[in-house]
Amino acid sequence: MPSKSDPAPAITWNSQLGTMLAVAGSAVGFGNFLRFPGLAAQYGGGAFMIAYFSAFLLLGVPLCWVEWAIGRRSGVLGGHSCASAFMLISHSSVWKYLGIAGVLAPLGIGMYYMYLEGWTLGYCWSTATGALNLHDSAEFADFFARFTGSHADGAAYSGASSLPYFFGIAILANLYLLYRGITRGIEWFCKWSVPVLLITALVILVRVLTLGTPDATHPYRNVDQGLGYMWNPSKTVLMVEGKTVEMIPVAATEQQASQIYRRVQQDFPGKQVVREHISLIRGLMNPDLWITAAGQIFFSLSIGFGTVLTYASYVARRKDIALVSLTANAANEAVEVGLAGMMIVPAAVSLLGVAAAADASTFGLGFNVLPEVFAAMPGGRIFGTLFFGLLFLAAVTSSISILQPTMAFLEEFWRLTRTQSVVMAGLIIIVGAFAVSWYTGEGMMALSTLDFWMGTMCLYLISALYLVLFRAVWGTRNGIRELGRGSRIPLPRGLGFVINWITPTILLIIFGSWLYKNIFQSTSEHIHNLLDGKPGALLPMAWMLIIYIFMTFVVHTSRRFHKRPAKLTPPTP
Amino acid sequence: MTLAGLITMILSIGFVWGLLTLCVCRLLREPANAPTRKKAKS
Repeated sequence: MPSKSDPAPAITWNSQLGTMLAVAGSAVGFGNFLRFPGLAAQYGGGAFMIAYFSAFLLLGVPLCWVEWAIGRRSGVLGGHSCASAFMLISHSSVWKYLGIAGVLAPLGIGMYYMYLEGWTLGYCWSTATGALNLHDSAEFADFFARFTGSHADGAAYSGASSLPYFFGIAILANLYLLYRGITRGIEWFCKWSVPVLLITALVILVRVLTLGTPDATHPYRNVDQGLGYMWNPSKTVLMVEGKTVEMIPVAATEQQASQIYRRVQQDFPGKQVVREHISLIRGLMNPDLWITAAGQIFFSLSIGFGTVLTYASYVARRKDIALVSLTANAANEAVEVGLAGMMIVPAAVSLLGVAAAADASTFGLGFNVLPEVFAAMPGGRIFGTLFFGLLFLAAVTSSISILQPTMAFLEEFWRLTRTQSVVMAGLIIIVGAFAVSWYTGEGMMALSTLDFWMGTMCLYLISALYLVLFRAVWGTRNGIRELGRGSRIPLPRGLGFVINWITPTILLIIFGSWLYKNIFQSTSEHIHNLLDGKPGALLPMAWMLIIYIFMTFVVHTSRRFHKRPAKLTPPTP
Repeated sequence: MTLAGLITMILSIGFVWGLLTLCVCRLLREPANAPTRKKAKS
């Protein structure tokens, strides 16, 4: 329990707007701009959006409220990291060891997130200087391989790539903002960077929507077709080897549709072209669509990252958290659906065609397709620079939040000062991030390994722990009372039922299906890579294990939170 | 783009921007339980 002689003074946010912007900035990242548009288009706008908004209301909002309530209660009791929060609320030492996962996972994610920030900064620079003014897909793919060193381990450090410089700048920028602290660093940065991000996205959106039909030789490559591909609940697509390569326009006659079909056959000689109709009802009957939509909500809102819990712990006891959480979630959705959903796919379709936008992976869309889109766009150099600058800002607002739980952990369990914590967290991050940037061969093995174990599996586990703690240990009624303290909105009546039954069920289904897909249906390559002892998979995970042992040691030997805290007094309404 | 697509787009974007506008307006309003200045004793 914090006492008056406690050397660490209570830190709180300066304003509720600052808190909201910091949390929204933390949630807005690569997933909003690159992952969501691809998924929505792939599953056919309408059906996907029904599943998406259902998951937002039944999984996203309740889980965020759970995390906010746990975080604020913990902050009042003097704990700011997941480990201390779990112990303070459960009164059990076992929970503080479980809570280490909530510090370790964001740290692992931060290691590759900073590397990706280096990419965005490098692409921003290269677009501005004209180095990305290339001509065809092969040239853009070659630039990507040379810049990131993806063709061999250690290639990024061979002297041919400028990535190490941008990577270094990204790390220093993050550590500097963390050193400045919660109010002068994170809150200050988010207060100007999130509005700048929104304005930049709006400027790019206006440019994309005014593209019209950029190439008269391809009359079906236009903004209307792009918006249709993104949002139409029913559409007819042409597929080759399971990949969408073209969409039949709604207004096309049967003769025009046959012409498009023949042209695709000519483009893919000797391969079977399948005409497939995607409809709203058929989409809604597809369980994959529901699981994917729920998964997108889960990752987009940064659920289970531990960052919301840490941010919430700096909110004063009688301040509102329910409305701030909902506003941050709404801001994240507005960027994802309202801006990215209108921007990325229409731009790619109108300049490069449906095949470029369809089935592209997150990184494929961001670093191969979009640079080509900007190269083909009138004024693309300016808008490309703005876009990659925007991505960099979105990534930095996320990564500083990702590292804050580690800072809080080191400060409270090891009694380090902020400077000492920054140095310590910096050393841990630099070693891990260096491994990620070195082992880039075999499909960015180190990055994908950390993303699989830390960025996916750990997040499901931590979210499950939140729900167990909230429901079975703390008590849903106590948790909701905490959420309602100082709230400026009335909480929904059935919230307890949703948190007790609906949210855990959805979480169980998406986690279960993920486990089934990666372990039971076919063993994931990430598990094989570890079992085969590949250094690209083994070394980053060994580093995570060392950090886990170190954190367990710190928690075990720390004189803080080593005793069972006094029983919590029931919160007064 | 079909009419159904247009409706989906408007509903989706309207929902998220509408929710955000409502939340921000509420957030910027003076809190209902803000301490009021006590009347001076006569």
